[in-house]
Amino acid sequence: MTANPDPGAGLLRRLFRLTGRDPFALAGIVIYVVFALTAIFADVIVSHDPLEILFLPDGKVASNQSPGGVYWLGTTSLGRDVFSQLVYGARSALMVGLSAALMVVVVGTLVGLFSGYYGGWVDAVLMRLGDVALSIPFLPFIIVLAAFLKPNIWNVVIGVSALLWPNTGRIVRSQVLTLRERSYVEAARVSGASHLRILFTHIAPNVLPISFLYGSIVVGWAIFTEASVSFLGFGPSDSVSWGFMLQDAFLSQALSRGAYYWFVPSGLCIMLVVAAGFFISRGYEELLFPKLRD
Amino acid sequence: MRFISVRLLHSLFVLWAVVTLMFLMFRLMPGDPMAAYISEALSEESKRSIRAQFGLDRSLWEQYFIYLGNLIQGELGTSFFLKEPVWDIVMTALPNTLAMTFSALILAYLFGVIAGAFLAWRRGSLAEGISIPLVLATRAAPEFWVGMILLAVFAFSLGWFPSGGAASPGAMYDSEWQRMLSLDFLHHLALPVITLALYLQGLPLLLMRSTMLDVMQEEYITMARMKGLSTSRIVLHHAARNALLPVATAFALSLGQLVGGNVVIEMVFSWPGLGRILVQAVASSDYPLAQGAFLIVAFALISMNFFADMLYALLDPRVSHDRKS
Amino acid sequence: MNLLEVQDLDLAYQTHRGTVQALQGVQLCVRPGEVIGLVGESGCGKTSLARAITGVMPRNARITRGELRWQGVDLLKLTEARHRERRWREFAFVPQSAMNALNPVHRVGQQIAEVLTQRGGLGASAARARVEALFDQVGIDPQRARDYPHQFSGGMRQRISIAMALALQPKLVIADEPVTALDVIVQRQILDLILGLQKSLQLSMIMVTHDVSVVAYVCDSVVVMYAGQVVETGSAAEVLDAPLHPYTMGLTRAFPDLQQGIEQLRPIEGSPPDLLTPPTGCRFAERCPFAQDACRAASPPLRSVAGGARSVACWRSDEAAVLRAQWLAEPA
Repeated sequence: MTANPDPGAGLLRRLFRLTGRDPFALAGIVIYVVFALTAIFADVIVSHDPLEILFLPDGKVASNQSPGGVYWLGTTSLGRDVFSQLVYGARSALMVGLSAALMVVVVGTLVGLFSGYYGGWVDAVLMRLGDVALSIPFLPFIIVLAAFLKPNIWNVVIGVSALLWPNTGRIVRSQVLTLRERSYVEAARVSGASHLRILFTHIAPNVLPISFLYGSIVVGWAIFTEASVSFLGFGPSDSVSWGFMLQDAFLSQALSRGAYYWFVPSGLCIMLVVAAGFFISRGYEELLFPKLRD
Repeated sequence: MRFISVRLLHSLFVLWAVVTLMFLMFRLMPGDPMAAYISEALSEESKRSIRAQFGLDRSLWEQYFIYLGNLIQGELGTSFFLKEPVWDIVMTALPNTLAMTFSALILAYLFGVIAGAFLAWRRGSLAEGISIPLVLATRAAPEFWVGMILLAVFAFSLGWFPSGGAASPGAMYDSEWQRMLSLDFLHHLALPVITLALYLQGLPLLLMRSTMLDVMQEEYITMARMKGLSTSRIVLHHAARNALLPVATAFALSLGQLVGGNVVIEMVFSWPGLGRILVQAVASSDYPLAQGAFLIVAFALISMNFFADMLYALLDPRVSHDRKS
Repeated sequence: MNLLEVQDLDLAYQTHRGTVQALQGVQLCVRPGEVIGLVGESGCGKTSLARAITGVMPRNARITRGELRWQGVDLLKLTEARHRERRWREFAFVPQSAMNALNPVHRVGQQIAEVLTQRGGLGASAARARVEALFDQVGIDPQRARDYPHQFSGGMRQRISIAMALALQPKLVIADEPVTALDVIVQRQILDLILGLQKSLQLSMIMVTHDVSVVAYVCDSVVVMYAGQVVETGSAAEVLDAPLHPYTMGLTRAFPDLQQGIEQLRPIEGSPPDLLTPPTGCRFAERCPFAQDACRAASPPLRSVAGGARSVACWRSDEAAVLRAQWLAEPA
């Protein structure tokens, strides 16, 4: 992939043309918006607290109710409303996804900037660190982290960021290597600007579009990983996430009872959000590096 | 030759770094550093012998070197709860993981390569426009969720497959090979493998399609057509040969990643593999077992990365002839 | 009988921007043992024509009119299978960039042997022997047949391409800019090699090039193309010494001549027309210093002059001598 040295040029114009040409990227944006709104307005949308145990009129716990009436997607074995859980799950997904993406963007960009600009041993050390990060098995590491840290949503964020920054770092670094030789950088150096100033005012802005591209890919990965971690039982038990719902269903024998209404929607949501992330990043990449159409 | 030794050195460095990281994590974790190796449940005598073996009463540096020495000998400590050497436990679970991983990879890659080549041939058709996002969707769906659905439908509802584990109760075999080739084992293997393969096929499919598209644009393909060679010869001998290069490398890389990456599948299907061991060890704070399992997984990953590099060099003569890229 | 006859050929490319008329009304004749230079700037259609003859064109190419007769048989009317039979056996192709044209993961000897075994019916050892003979012919150490393309220099790779083209002893070799990518000294070596082989094997050749000096060195006759049309033909000596078409005049004055020293160079101003919407009149009119209203109104047909030995597509061809003098006299 030959990088357009100034990916920001003409970005907005291309954005409009792109949404017309790439229906899936558009669908991705729509999905993101829908889920974002759901997450933000969760309190307004749901009918019950996701962890509240509900009761039937006759006083018994409303467990394993099929969808219908008051319970739009039925209830769990413990009598909690599935739909409410689903909606609140969007909130944790969003938080995890965005936080992890932000961290990866920040760490990866900083590493790439310093590595590419200063070179020498700074570069060598950072790149070796990146090699090590990439050689660590992803999910097992996060599980082992869970062994030491209390079950917390931030475990996933930290773990994901710690292992996924190298790709962003590398690509930013190669961009910086090119940009470093540009005449405006030379000019700034000659005029006496400090290295840090050059790095952050001249080079960084040109590198950000690419960082965000990688960030957009990380969002999906983070949500996916959080779901896996929660499913395995290492997620927080005081907040509801889609992974938590799947674990809950699995452990409560929902499979053998055929309670599809319980475990299908949450996984579907994960799939939609992660797929949306893929489509958007595909479209975004096309935006930054338009390929020749044949 | 130089190329090989440089890569080998690099891999060894990375391995050392990961091993050291593990050492530091387990030693510096909150609480009693001894807790990584000694649980309160052990007898005083056992505690003393473990202290001696792992040098837990010496300085951090000495502990570190003893740790490294132990590792090289394959000494990973003893599990708290299973009371057996970690090495034995891990080695018993490993074949199960490998059997599932390998079968799923083969299935996924066979399908992916053929479907990818087919889609490349049908460039611009409607089928292509729909299948690409569809394939991306398979990669977006959590494998354990798909596993759950397949379990619910095919195991619980229809009863075609067992609902978990690797063997029916009471089965006895003379050897590992006999066990793994038995019908019972394969019956249990089916659903986990299908689930994992469904998830994995996206990568080889998209990769094969992409590389085939690139290769088909190449001038040597045009030349092959000008030379009057038959279509099958061009596709198989010229196009595929070049297009398979990245796919083969991806295959080798996946092998490494999957020794630990299919943790969730093993949990859904109660498959007695390395991933499940790791999860259970962490859940029960069985630190020696958790550390041992993780190290084996990391080792597998790093060594497969190395072999993938070697494989690529072997297949692409441009790399092995030491050209400066 | 003519080896190859191209009659009134039209070729178009379907692109997402529209239909590009790459060739229009192209006429070409190749006699046995003749070396024809196909000259023109990038985009004039010479490569499209060369590829059309071999029958291997990009997916979006369509031949909409005309005939392509090989020894009397119209190739365009043949099925793909029949056309394929003739490929490489009757006419072969030497590409511009051998680095891209040779498969990087196969040994060079094997790539030539492949043609011999798959299309020439030779057994493995007979093929190997012939490969060594071919390498000898083009001046490469036969031992190097076991090497890979990236291990050779540009000039040697072109030799390999030539050897590969000669494998099945074709009657016609089409060379697409065979020396453009090489440096001057190697260019001369390869051209000498090609000349020598052509004489000893009595090959017909179509030498596609944008470099007039190559034509002067190697070719018997020349076909000048511009914007998808043939604008002038004739013997190399006559066309280069006394061009009839203003474009040819520009061409012959735009290149330093290896043999005659550097005359006053005059590059042709401007660029060729967009073939998506070709102009109605003469396609060169916009860049032509001698264009008149008649030129812009209607496109001049290719007419025979000088008793059939030459042809030119220009309304003012009878004034050619005067125009030539005028062209030279213009200040640079």
